[in-house]
Amino acid sequence: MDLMEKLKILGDSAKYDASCASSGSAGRGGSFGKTAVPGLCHTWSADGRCVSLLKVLMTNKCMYHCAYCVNSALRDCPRAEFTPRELCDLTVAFYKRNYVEGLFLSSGIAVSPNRTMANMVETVRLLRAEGFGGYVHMKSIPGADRALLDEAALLCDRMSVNIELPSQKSLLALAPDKSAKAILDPMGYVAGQIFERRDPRAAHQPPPYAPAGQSTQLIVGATPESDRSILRLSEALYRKYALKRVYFSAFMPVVAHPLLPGIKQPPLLREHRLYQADWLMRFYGFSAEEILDDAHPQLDEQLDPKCAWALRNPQFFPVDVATAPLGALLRVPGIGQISARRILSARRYGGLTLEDVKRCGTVMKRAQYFITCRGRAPGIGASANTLRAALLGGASALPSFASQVSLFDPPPGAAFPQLQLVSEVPHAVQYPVSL
Amino acid sequence: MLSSILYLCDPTPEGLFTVMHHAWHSDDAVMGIVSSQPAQIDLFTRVVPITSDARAAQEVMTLLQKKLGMGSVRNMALCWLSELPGCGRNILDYAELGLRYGRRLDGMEANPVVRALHAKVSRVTFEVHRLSGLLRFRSAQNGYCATVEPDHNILSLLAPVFVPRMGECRWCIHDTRRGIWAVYDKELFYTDTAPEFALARVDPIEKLWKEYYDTIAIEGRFNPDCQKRLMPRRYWKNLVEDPQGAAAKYLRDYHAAT
Ligand code: SF4
Repeated sequence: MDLMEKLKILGDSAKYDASCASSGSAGRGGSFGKTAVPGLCHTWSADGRCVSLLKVLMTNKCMYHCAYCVNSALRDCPRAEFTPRELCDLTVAFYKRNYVEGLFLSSGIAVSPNRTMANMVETVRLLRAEGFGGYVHMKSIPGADRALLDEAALLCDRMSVNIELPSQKSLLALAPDKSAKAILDPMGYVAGQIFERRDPRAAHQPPPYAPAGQSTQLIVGATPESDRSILRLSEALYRKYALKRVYFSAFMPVVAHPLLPGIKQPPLLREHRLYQADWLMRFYGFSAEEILDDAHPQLDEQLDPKCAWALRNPQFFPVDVATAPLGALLRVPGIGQISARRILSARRYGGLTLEDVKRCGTVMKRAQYFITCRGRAPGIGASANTLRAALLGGASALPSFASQVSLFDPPPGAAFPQLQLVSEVPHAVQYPVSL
Repeated sequence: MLSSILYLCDPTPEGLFTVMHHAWHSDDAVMGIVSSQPAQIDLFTRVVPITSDARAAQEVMTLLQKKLGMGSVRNMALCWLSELPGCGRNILDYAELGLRYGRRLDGMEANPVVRALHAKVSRVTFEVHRLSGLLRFRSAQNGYCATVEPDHNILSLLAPVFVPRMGECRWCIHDTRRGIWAVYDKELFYTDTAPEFALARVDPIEKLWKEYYDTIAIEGRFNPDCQKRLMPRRYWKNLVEDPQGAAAKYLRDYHAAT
């Protein structure tokens, strides 16, 4: 089989992974190739997704039977496998032409988890031996030895394991060959290693070990879990495993299966709302429990989660833009990270007018109902119904999937109050995350 | 004579700071600064060409740096590289404010002059970021060669991005709009003539990339509007892949399947 054929098959079968970020790595040096801290998009595919990395599988010859997966052994489809040398050379060739930031390497599980992961590690070892200093994201293969995980983390920028199904029950039903333990084990192990190696007082900085951290992906809409349980799981993953990102992937029915919903279109709007809620947790100081509670287990499809929260919590408003602390400003619909920082900065130099607030980038169409400024309160006092209608008017239509990287990664240079992420990373691997 | 002055200088930061030196030492009313002869001027405007002078420029930069800080000087230079209408006047106003408020200048986010200048700076840095991704090197005789046509005069900001990325091979970037080249051959320099290695040749890797690109859109997520919004059409012609073709192919496959 020629290289073109392989690339088509192994690119096609890797594309369902939502992650393509190349951000957050200080890199490791090399004779060519460099990581960009904010990440970089190189092109956008016809579905509007940013393409940052050469995203391929090592092989799609998978011996497992995950019901939702195109590569499952159950499916009848063309199969292929790269050799480490082929894939290394292809990555370098693409990188030198500035098509990509580096490599995103995942794989089906052929022969054994160890054999699969060893091939992947060998590919990256070859790349680094060539002097490649660019970005590499590798999937940990559930069931592979820890020695292989260590080797991989020492070579790669980011590691990830896709949990895919947000509950133990769904995993049992739809991914019969993989246990929740096998999935979480590598994640917990790598998290623990990253944590242990982070000692700012160490005289010798240890070699970079997955410097861009770990991420995972959850499929949305294949199984009955509520948005609330998905958000709570994400929050737990951020806290316990210090994950850099949790990606959501709207379920795309690629294979028919009696246990999977027979939908035609992936639930893109739901996915988008989850990303917005995730964003609120990571950069706006919201907890999962604030965004959704028992009475509201699903995100409002019509309103973005911040507006929905504000409507349910009138007691926090109006916020006085002239005096409110950053945390309170950030909770105002229409004020984002950038406009909040601008407001803080601008009000140091004199009394703020409403016009100034607008000039700082605030979206007044939404913010006016929640703020006061020098005693002026443009929209305060509107009835709840008017308010909802007004906010709906300003809500955007179905947003782009591509917002994943461009909108949802923090703008470069912005100093965000990170969530209380890394206080307690498990040393011994426990399973604090209940799936 | 009752006229105001429009300074004409070269499009580099050095040109800009030389002009500021002149403006500060003259009593005339300054209308603005431009880097190309304006198509139309009114009766009361006098165009005064200024030749760049490294010493004068340095003097101004040192002073501004002392009073306003390096960040503001950088902002002025970036605003000038934007080549946007009114950028010269904007810089003069910003500098004047800066001499009054010193290092507080960039914190004055609500001030219209500061906001306007910051907005121009963002457009420049955003285009550098965007083109760092969208630029395509094509295999040449003995190195790599890229063509860009940026809105703003960013070659001097874009080329350094590729120095650590490309390693020791030879490469060049051609800004076709401005007729300038950035060339890397052991070191980076700028010139207005094409380097001799810049002859394109047939490259089988391009075909692999095109095929890969056509493969990776997910069924059910087709969204060419979004694709266009994030990657404006004016950048397409220097790509290797074909966004329009990929969208058309997607639709063909889709109709064939349903
Ligand atoms: S193990 Fe991975 S590749 Fe194999 S069927 Fe399951 S999800 Fe697909």
